[in-house]
Amino acid sequence: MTAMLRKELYVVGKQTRMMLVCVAGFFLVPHFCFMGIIYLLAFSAGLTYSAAYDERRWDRFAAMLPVSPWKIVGSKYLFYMAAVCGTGAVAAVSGWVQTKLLGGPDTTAAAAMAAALAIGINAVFLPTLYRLGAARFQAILSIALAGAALLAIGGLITGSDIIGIYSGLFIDASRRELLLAAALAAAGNIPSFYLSVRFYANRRYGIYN
Amino acid sequence: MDNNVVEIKGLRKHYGGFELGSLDLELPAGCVLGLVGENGAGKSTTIRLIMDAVSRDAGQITVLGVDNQSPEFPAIKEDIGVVLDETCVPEVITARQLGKVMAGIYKNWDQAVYEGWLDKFQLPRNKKFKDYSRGMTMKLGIAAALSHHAKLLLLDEATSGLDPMVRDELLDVFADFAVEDGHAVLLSSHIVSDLEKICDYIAFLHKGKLALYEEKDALLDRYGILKCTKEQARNIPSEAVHSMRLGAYGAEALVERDCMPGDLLVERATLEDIILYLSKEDGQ
Repeated sequence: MTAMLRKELYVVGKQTRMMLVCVAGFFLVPHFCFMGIIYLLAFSAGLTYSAAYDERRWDRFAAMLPVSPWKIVGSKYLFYMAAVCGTGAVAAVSGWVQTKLLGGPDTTAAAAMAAALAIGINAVFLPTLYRLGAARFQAILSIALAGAALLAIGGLITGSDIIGIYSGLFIDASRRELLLAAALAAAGNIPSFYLSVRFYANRRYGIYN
Repeated sequence: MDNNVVEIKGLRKHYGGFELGSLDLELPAGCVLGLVGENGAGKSTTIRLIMDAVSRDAGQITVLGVDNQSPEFPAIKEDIGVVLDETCVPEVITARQLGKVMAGIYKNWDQAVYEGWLDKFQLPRNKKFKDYSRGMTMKLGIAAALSHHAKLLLLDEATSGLDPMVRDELLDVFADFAVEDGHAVLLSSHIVSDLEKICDYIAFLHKGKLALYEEKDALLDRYGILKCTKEQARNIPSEAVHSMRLGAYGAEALVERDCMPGDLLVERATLEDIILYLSKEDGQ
C-alpha cells in the first residue's frame, strides 16, 4: 500500500499541492471562498483523470506486479481522502484567519462541507470510472457539465439559485448538517471502495485488448 | 512441475476476431524460450495469459509450480520479472522514484542492483520518464525486472528499439540469467537473429496457432533451404517439403534434410529463413 501511495504522490502530488495552495488562498480572501470550494470539488474530477490515465499505462504494468487490486484501488481512495481532508483543514484555518484578521464571513463550515462533498463525489466517480472505463466516463462527465452549463445559460438555473445553494449548503451549514455530510461521505466510500475493487479486478478478464 | 518453470497445456483465448490456441508449451529451468511470430500473432497475449493479466478461456498454466489462477500465484509474481513491449511507467516519474516505488512492491528488491543497472545503462536518475527515448524506456524496464532477484523473466519485445551493441550486451545478460539454478527466460521478439543467438527453444506463433515448437539446434539441423530448377522441385518427395517458392527461373523450398535425395544440395537454413518460409503460403 505504501508503494502505491508513493506512486500516487509522485503522479498527482504536484497538482495536489497546487490545489491546496489555491484553495487556502481563496479562503483567505473575504467572499472568495466559493472559488476555493469549486477548486476542491473539481479535484475529484482531477483524480478520476489520474485513474483514467493509469488505465492507459500503469494498469497494464501493475497487472504484472505482485500488487493486489485492493492495494491499487485502496491507494487512490486513501490518497484522495488525505488530500481533500488536508486541504479542507488548511482551508478552514485560512477561513478562520480571514475572519479574525479581515472581518470576513466565517467560512470554516464551508471548508468542511466542501471537503465532505468532494469525498462524497469521489465515492460516486471512481467506481463509475472503473465500471465504464475512462473514455465513456469522461464522455458522460463532459455531457453532464455541458448540460449544467446549458441550464445556467438557458435561465433554468439562475444566479440567485446558485447563491442560495452556496449559502445554504456551505456558508450557513450547521454543525449537525456538517456531521451528517461527513458521515454520509465516509459511509458512502465503503461500498464505493468494494465496488471499485470488483470493477477494477474484473478488467483482467478480457477488457484489456 | 518436474523441471519446468512454465507449463502451458491446452491454452485457448478468444478475442473479438482473434483466436489464440490451443497452445502447449514448456519452458524448462536453465533455458531460454524464444516466442516469435508476426504482429498480432498472440505473443503479448500469451505473456499476459501467463501472468493472469487476462483470463484464459481454456487450458492450464503453471508458473514455478503454481497454477496461475490459484490464490498462491500473486506471491509467485515476486519471482517473475516482466518487461512489456511498452514500459508503462507514469510519464512524470523518474528512475529514482520508480526505484522507490518498486522497493515497496517487491520484497526482494535490491536497490544496489537497480542502481548498478542504471549506471550500466547510463540512465539519468532525475529525468522524467516522458523525456526518455524509446531505448531508454526499455532499458529502465529491464533494469527494474532484473533488480528483485527474479527466477523467471518474461520479456515482450524487450530488445526492440535498442541499438545493436546494447541488444547484444542484453542478450548476454539474459543468457547468463537463464543458466542460474532454477531460472528461465521467455523472450518474445520478431528480431529473429536475437532469438537464434540465445534461445534453447523456439515457439513460432502464426495467426494465433502454434506452428512450431522445437529445440533450436534440432530445428536448425532439421531444416534446410533447397534451391533448384522447377523440374527438380517436382521430383522432391512431398513429405520433405514444408514450403516452396516458385520463381521465374527456379524454385526455393524449405525442406527436411533427412528426407532429401543425396544429389541435391541443401543449404543450411537460418532461423529467420525457417520462420519466413513457414509463415508464407506455398507459392508466395
